[in-house]
Amino acid sequence: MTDTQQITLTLNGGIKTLRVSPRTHLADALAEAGSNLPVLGCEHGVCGACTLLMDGVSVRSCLVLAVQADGAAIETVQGLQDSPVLQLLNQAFLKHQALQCGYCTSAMLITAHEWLTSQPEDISRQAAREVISGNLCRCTGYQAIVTALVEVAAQLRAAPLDSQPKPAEPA
Amino acid sequence: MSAADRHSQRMLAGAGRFIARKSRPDGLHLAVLRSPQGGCRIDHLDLAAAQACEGVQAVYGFADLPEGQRHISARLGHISLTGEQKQPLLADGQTRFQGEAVAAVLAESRALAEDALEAIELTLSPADIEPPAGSQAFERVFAGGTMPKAAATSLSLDFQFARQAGVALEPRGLVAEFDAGSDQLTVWQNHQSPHMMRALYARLLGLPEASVRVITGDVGGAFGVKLHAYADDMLAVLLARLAGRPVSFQLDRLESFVSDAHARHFDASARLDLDGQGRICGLQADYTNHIGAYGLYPRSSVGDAVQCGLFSGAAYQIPACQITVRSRWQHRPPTGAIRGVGQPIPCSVTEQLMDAAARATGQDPLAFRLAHLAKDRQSEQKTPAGVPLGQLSLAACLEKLAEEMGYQTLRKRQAEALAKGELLGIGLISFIEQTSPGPGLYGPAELPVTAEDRCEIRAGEDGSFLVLTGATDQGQGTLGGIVKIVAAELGCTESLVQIRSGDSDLPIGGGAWASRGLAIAGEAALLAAQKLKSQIMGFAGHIHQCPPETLQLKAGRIEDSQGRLIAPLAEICQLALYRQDLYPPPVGGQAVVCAEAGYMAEAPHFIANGAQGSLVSIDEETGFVRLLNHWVVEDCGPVIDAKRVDEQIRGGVVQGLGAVLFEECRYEGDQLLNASFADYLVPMAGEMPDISISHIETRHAHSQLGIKESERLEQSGPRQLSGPQ
Repeated sequence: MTDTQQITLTLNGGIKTLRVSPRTHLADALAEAGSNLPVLGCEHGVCGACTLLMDGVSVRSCLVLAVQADGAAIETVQGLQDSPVLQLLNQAFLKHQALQCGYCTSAMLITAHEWLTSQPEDISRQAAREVISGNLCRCTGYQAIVTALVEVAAQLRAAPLDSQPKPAEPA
Repeated sequence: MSAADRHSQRMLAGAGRFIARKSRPDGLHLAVLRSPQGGCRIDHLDLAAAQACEGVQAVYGFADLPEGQRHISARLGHISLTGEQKQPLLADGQTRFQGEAVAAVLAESRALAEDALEAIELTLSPADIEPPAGSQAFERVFAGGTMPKAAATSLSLDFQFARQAGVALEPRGLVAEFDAGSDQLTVWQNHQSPHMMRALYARLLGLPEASVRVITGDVGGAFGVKLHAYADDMLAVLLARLAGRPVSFQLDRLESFVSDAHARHFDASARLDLDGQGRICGLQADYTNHIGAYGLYPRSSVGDAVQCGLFSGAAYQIPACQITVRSRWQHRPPTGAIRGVGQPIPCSVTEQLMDAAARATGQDPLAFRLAHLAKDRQSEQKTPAGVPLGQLSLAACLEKLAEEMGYQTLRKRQAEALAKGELLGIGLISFIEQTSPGPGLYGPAELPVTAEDRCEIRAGEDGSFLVLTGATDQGQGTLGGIVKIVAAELGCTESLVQIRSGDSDLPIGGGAWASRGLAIAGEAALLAAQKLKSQIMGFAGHIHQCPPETLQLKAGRIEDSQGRLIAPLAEICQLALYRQDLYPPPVGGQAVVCAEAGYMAEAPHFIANGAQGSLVSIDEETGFVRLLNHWVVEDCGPVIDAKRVDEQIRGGVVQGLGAVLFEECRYEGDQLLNASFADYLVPMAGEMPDISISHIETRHAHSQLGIKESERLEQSGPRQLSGPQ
């Protein structure tokens, strides 16, 4: 049961070498490595709370075995902090109170970020509702999240990414 | 930036610290074997093979627990339930419900502990277990006025309400550490009420209360699920002491579904009597609440039923009532408080009767309601069962709702649709909501829940403020509201006010329940801020030889009535802190920079009210209901943070919509069939419409803030959808 395998991945740009059991899913492996993200809501792929980016694509980290992530680039929302799209999302989430307890938020942002950086054609409220329909939020009732997503989508359409203000350089 | 925004920003940055990620390198992990079936005798339980598994520190059955620490009991001081049993922390020879912990494994990791669970041999056989399923635990009759001997018209309806789960996205969890050297217990737990848990852990372990500390930290949704003290929580803490190492206990989703509080499982029948003029003259109702295998520790499980008695017909003028409520045992998990305790069921029954009465008398449901609602702005009214209501605005809310909905236009649209064979439904409800109970609720019950919240505020040498509160916040925005109240009173920006919460070492408080955050803890914070200001002004007045009552505190400056600077606040604070040598008694030695105050509701509780409306389409062939629009008009008293209040309402409404349209614990016998998110449906974004919210404001008469509820727990929801007439 406890035969372990060594894997190497990057977590938010930092190289991590981990010894994992073949049965350990990626979310648990990252927790064992000391990361506070992702969080888990169901461990059967429905609630979306553990969503993160694996090689740039969103995955449910409870449905990915850690050994499958050997050699992958993993990003949680902490790894996207310099993204101008994420910064717009953060502002819009704050402005519209699009979070309450915050448990679903980091995964909600991953899903939203992936959508907004894919240059979506349909940026209606209904489209935004469908985008986040795999992320369970028990607190907000979703409306404020939808408002935030649609607002950022409209901002990006009006002024595409390359014309957005660059994030401040770290001091 | 406001305190609530600071919390939000931390979450947005992915910096939340939730309990499952609290790492204890020297710690053990607990997993419990949960009974696959309730109502059974344990024929065989063998733990030996589990004990031999890799990484296992210890395995426990009931008999391995120390005598005197094996049980909890939800027996209340003023209500005893027929057939009630003490609840063992691990099953004692029999299992009363599916999900009950039978054995416990402590191992080096959760995965190894779960492996060991598989090596436990357990054989069960169905048996007659006390109390028998279906036997009565509790009955009470609530009567008011004289029921009419004969009514011109009587409308009778029968109801069934399904068991519902609370579903916090973050499952329950705790880390318990017992320091044998100092006899100190520290528990980090995602809970709503750290002070209550401190008392309960101290009682279980026989420790002085002051030796126990409970810290709640970031909590990923609670909704009442995290208000209780579950047998497995108590077990985890006990085992941390027995094992002599920290114990981490983190439930998964499947465990949550079979062990968290469920609620709202009711059968009901109700009758509304009308006189010859079509006026309501009586309400008769029978409610049977199926409450599971135990009263849920420590609040027991009669709240839902009692509320049905107290609040049936509450929003209406009903001269007489006869309401019987019963609770019955089941071989299912204990039921308890989840969001909106006991209020959705009587509201739903009442509103469906109102629609039936409107239909029977040929009146529009809006007009019928307006003609019978309890009167606005009168202070002497009571519910049919005699609960005092305070100042209401029911008619104002319903009229505003009709305006917001474009009610008459919707009725025309409904008729036009019907002519084309399309079914549109328009639903209306009026509701009152009891919030923020005073000491009359849990005092007689002898529960370790303070009705009072206290608050301490300290001014620092730089004129910043630290607020210590007994309130807790699981995302409602309560702490942000308290900071706003304090900052306004102390004349400073919110960025100069820090707040600490969620720790039983802080001033006492009941924690988060019954929408009490700002109504109770907010008022306590206001009183503490007033006291602190008065102390600082008194000291400044003495130093500068001017009457304190002429001074004001503004943006870190103490000013006279003309706005001239008397002294910077920081200077006064520094003198008070460090230069008491200059001020001999009686001025010196007095409290200046630290003030403490408490608030307890004088009224039995606060009453908020409002109205909601829905527009739905119904597929005649499939019965599929699509919610097209939903409107809310709410009177929660003065609003401290308008946006957060609205988002609390939206969240509450969507949970209510979930209960109406999707959520149901489906049982076959006593086996839960849908214990996963794949099968137990909660509302997702795609199914929900935008929800329109507006406000009417009526103040609570007995507090300075006048707030009636804050963290919005209202979940009455759109129970009633009136079909085309």
